[in-house]
Amino acid sequence: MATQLTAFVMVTQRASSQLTAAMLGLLALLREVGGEVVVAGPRIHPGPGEVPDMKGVRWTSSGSEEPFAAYAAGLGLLDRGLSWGRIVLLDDSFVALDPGQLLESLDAAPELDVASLTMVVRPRPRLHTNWIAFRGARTLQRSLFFDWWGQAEGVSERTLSDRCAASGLRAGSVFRPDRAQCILAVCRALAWGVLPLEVPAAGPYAGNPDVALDLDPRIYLWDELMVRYGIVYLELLRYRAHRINVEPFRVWLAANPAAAALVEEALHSQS
Amino acid sequence: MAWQDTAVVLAHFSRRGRLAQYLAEFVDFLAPRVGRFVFVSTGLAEQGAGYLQGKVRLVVRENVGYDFWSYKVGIDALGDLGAFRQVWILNSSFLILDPSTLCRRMLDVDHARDVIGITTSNEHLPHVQSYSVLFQGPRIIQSAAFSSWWSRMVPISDRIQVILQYELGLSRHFVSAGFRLGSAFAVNRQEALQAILRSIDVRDLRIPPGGTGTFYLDPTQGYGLNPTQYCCERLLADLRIVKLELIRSKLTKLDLRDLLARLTTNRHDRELYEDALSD
Repeated sequence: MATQLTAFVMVTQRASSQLTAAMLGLLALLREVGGEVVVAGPRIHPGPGEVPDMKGVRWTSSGSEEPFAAYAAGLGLLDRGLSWGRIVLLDDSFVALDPGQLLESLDAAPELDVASLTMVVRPRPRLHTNWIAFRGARTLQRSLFFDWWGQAEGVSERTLSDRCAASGLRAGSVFRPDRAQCILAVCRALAWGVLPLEVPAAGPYAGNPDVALDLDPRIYLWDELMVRYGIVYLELLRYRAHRINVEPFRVWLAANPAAAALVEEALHSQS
Repeated sequence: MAWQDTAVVLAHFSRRGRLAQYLAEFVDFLAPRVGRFVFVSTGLAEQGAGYLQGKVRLVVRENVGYDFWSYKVGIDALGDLGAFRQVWILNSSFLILDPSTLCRRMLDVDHARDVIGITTSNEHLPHVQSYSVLFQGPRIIQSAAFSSWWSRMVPISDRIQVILQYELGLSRHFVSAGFRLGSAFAVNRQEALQAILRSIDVRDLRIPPGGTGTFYLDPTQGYGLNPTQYCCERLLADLRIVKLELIRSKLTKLDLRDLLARLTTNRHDRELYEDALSD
C-alpha cells in the first residue's frame, strides 16, 4: 500500500459505544495504516471507560441518527491543516472478514478522486458510502471538501455523486463488474423473481448484461466482493427484501466458525 | 379409490429403524386399496414392524445393496404378477404429505408410457428418477425385459455404482427393449429456464466465457437439471411430496426458506416434516 497520510472516519450505528469484534479487528488495522482514526456515531460516549481503550483512536458523538451527520462529526475532529493524502469513510453495515484485503482496495483505481468500493450505475450513479475514499490533494485540499460536511443540508449518499460531478471530481467505484459478473448478477435477479422472467415460446432466452448496472453489487455479487475484498454486507443476511439466495453463504459460514462468530455478533449488535 | 390391479413395493431405510409417521399414513391409505403391498426394510424396529402387521407383507433384510436390492427382494416377494396391470416401486427417501394426491396422480392416470417416474431427469442421460417408478401395463410387466432386469440383479453396495448401473441402467434397459419413459410431473419451459438461472446462481452451471452484448440461455438445458431440487416448490404444491435429502442435508445450496415455510404452514404437514427429520 502506498504511503500516504490517511485518515479514517468510522461510523457506527450501534446502541452502545462498544464495537463488535469485527469492527475492532478492522479498527486495529486502520490504526496501523492511518495517520488518524476517528470513530463517530449517534450514541458514542467518548469518556474514559465508555469506549474501547485504543491508542490513536478518537471518539465523538454526532447526536443524530443520520449516518452522514456522524461522518460530518468525525471529519470535524480531523486536523484541516494536515496534508491528507486520503480520507476514508466507512460504516458498520458490513463485516470485514479479511481487513487486509479490504485495505488493499485503497490503492485501486488511482485515477479516481472519489472512490467507493461499490456503486449502482443506473438510473443515476450512486456511490456507496459504506466504504469510500476521498483522495489526493486536488480533492482534499479544497476547502469545499470539509465545507460540504458542514453545510446545513449536509451530504447524502443520493447526492454525493452529483456533488462530485459538480465539483469536477472523478468519482467511481473500485469494483467494476466484468461481463461474467454482470451476467451472474442478472441471472440471480431473474432466478429469484427480482426481475421478471419472460420465457420465449421457442429458442434461447436473450439476456442483457447491462441490466446489472441497475443492481446493487453488494447484494447480487456478494460472493465476488467477499472473495476479492473480504467483506460481506449484513443487509444480505438480515432482510429478505432482495429475495436472493444466501444459502451458499450460510453453508460457507458453517464451515468457517470464526467468520460465523463475527457475522453473528455483528447481526445481533444491530438488531 | 382402489387399485386392485396394482402391486406395490416400498423400500424402507431408517438408520434408527423407525417407521416415520408419513410412511405409516401412506401405508394406511394405500395398502387396503391395492392388490398387493410388500414393505421391504433394511432394519425396521419392533414398534414399526408391529404397526405394519396385517397391513402389508413385511420383509426385513440385511442392509446391503441400497434401495434397488429392496426393490428386487420386493418384486420377488410379490410372486406371480399375472393379475397386475401396474407395479409401483418406491422408496422412503421422500416425504409424502398427502398419499391420496400422489396415488391418484400416479395410479389413476393412463400415462401412455411404460416406465413412469414421479420425475425424470436428463442428468447424464434421460432417465426416470428411481425413488418412485411405476411399470404400467401388462406389456411391460409380462415382458422378458422386466423379468430379466430383476432376475439378473445383484446387490451393489457402492452408491455411485447403484446410480450408474441401476438408476440410469433401468431406464437404459427398458428403452433399449422398446419401452417408453414418462413422468407424472412435467417440468415446463419456464421452470427449466429458472432451473438454469438458479444453477448459475449457486455456480453449478458456469457462465460461458467471452462474448459481447446479449447473452443467451437455452431453456432446454434446464431439463437436464434435477427437478426434485430445482422444482421442489411445485412438486410440493402439485404432488405434495418433497425429497428428504433436500431438507435434511446440505445437498443443495438453494434457498429453501419458501419451501420450508410452505411445509410448516399447516399443522399436519409440519408434524410429518418434523417427524421425518427426527430420523
